[in-house]
Amino acid sequence: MSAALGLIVSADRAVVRRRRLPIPGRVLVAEGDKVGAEDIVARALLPGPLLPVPVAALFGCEPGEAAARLTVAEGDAVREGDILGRGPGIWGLGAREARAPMAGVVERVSRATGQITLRGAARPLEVAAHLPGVVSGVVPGEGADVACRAAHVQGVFGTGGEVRGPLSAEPLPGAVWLLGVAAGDDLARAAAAGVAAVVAGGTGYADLRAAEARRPDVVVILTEGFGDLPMAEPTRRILSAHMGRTVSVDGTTQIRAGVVRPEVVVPLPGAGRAMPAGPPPELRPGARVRIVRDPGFGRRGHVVQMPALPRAVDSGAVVRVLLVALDGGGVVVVPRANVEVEG
Amino acid sequence: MKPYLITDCGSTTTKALLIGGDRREEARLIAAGEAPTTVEAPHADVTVGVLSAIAALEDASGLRLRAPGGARPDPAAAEYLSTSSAGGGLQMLVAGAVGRLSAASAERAALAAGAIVQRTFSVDDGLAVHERIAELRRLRPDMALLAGGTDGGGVRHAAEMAEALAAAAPEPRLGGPARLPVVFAGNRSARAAVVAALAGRCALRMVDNVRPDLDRERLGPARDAIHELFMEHVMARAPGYDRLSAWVAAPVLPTPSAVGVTVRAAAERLGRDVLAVDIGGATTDVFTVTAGRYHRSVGANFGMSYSAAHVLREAGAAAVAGWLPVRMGEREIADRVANKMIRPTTVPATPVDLLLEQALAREALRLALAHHRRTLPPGPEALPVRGRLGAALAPRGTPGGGGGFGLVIGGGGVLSHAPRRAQAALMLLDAFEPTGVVRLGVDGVFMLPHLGVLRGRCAEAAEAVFWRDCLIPLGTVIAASGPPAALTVHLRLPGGARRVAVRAGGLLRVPQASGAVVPAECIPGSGADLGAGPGRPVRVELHGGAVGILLDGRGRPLRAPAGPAEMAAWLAAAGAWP
Repeated sequence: MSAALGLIVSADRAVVRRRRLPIPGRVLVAEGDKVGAEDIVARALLPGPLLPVPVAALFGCEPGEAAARLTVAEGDAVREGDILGRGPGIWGLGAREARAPMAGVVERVSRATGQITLRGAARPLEVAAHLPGVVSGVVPGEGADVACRAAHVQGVFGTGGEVRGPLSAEPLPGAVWLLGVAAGDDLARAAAAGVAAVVAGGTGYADLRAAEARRPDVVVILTEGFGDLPMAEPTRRILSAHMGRTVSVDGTTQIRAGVVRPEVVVPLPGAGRAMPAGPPPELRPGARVRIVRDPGFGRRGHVVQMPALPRAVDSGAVVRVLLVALDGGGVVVVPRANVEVEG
Repeated sequence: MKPYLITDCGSTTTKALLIGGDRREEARLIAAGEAPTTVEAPHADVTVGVLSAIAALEDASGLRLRAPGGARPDPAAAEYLSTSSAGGGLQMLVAGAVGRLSAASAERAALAAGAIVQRTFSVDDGLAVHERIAELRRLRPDMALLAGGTDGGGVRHAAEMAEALAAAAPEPRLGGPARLPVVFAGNRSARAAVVAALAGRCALRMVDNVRPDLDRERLGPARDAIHELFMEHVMARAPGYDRLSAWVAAPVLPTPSAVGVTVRAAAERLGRDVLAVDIGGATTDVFTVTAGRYHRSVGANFGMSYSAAHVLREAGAAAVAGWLPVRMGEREIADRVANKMIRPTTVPATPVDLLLEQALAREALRLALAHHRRTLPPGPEALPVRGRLGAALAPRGTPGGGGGFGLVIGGGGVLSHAPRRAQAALMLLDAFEPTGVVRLGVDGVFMLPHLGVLRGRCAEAAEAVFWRDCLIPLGTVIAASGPPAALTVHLRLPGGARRVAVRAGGLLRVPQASGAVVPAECIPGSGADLGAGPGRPVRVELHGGAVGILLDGRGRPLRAPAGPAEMAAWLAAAGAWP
């Protein structure tokens, strides 16, 4: 098992995000356009909701007989309350009507189940640029790439989705609250204050669960992990330098295949003239690494040796290891799987 | 014999094995190699990882197994076979009429075919029709299995499900122009209605009903159709699988399906029931063969990394803490487990971290077994319910053959790579509570899938390699049902007779090497039952292994340790810690 590629912690780099519709639609921007974070770059129409209407049951007849009693056909548009057909009633008495429970189009008439299926009106679905920058590419019918120059910090775990707001050291309404550790009642305070997002080094797993129970869409980004883990100094330094600036935050996290990490993007002046990102860092002697599991969770240093043969560690596991010279002194043996390479 | 080159393309790792020998019956594992699976970007071609794994195998064996140029396996060097669960395996949605009848049978058919069941729908699933349609649309399966109704019964429910599927028109997960493959295995009389709803919208295949009548289940035709469509549709669209399919000498099998082949063969060979488990990062698969009936279940959220936090929530931190020989607060347990979830490839480097992972594994295994029990088909073979959770399945090993679990096989990193084999044995004991006289083993390098696909080409070689190289014997456990009770065993060793005994509530390990078979008389204490009746002795053969013979006087159902000191004592007695 080799070391994981570290999370991005960069003071100045190119960030390109593909802003894509989940279904085919229309792209509203062209390559080279300047966009603001709130600008809509693509729009689609979501097919309306489907609503089956059990007309046979409403008519009081067999499923196969219902179609003949309908006054509408597949493809017809109906308004809410329109009559769809009339049933025979019992011995011709008390004939029953079926009415459209919503406006829509008759999509299907089933002789097997005696149901008709109404499809409601389509709803617009829009995708915003999320980052202020320049449209660097267009995917016809799907969306666009938005590029900007930014300070860029990835977290290891996040909740919620996309929000934008000013970076703040205080829990202010609509702000992105930056703090070292979200301890005690910090997440409850954030919710009470109406902050847009919390960015912290660590927090208790139980505290985060409680915050999600209060507000399922709460946006929290952890840069280190769970527990009393302060934000790594380089991360804190980069973000602290931009207090008050509006940042684009995305809490989306996917740990399994196709890993997606949450992120904070701080757009920098000069958007559109993005610097190309360098190659990803490699694990090699001299590489900067961060230890991401006990012992030494959160400590940083550089690789001094990469023994070829596996070695037993304190748990008894025999694994491939690294010798890491820690910042502040000392050399430790760490499983390769327990470090992340820093950029 | 001509050697076999076999790969299993797992979700993260592709493992290549070379199996060969002078004669089929003497086949052995020659070498292994592995490489990261490459079904996703940037490679997006499974064969890149396959060729890398074969290259690693060439390095390990010194043999040339790729054709000149290295662009494909060389059929002249070895016959090439493969299994695959890469790219998420075979993901299916299942629908039936009634949740406990046809829908349950359809789900079992999908699981037996090696699928990951995304969701099972039925007319009594609690969803309004429009909600069901919305959910069907949200899922992007590789395939759908539709059942409903007994043959000759009402057609309406099956038609309703087909219409919901038609209205939702779910897109195949891997996209492309092809239509979603749908297997209809329901009421024969409903076929016309199903065709009317789905023809032109799906690639429809009709097979015999999984539930021809209320008392009978017939899963084979649906399972076979799923395998065929998996090859024709799913594999054909997965990145690189067109090339992989052209290289193999036999159809690529879904990994869990191949594991099932191996487990069934082991049960047949032993003439005993077998339980096998594969505990992974996200899921735990449980396979049982009981009275000749095979059943597989997938504990979809009972894994050791991606779903570790789910296991913790389901089991409760107190239950996990109960398996630790040291005190640890519930907040600390939650934080450590959640950190494993978000950095799933890290390994425990401290004893405390290791013990916590193994404690969590006990609960994941218990939960997976409880789930397995709930998904078993109805019938007299239904297995007894036991255990602290009240729903765990107790593998009963009855002495002398003729029924009950004779072998429990553990697979997956936390079991196969436990630093001490005794740790794996104790995890299996604490989680599954085997009762009677039961052999324990682990699949050291996860070869069960490879041997499953090999069995279709050369059963003798698969059989030989399973017992010689795949199964690492841990030993035999003797455990009585009933309250904690003393247990005495008279061993007839080559050097003479030896009496060993464990007190009520205790554990005792008697080292016996792999390959040793020791005739023995086991005498349970008063009220305890080894299968012959309370207090009655049994004569058996005990198999040695990496751990040896374990006398378990803790009783069944097993109560949780009274505290860290008692857990420490159990671990020490088994040789698992410190």
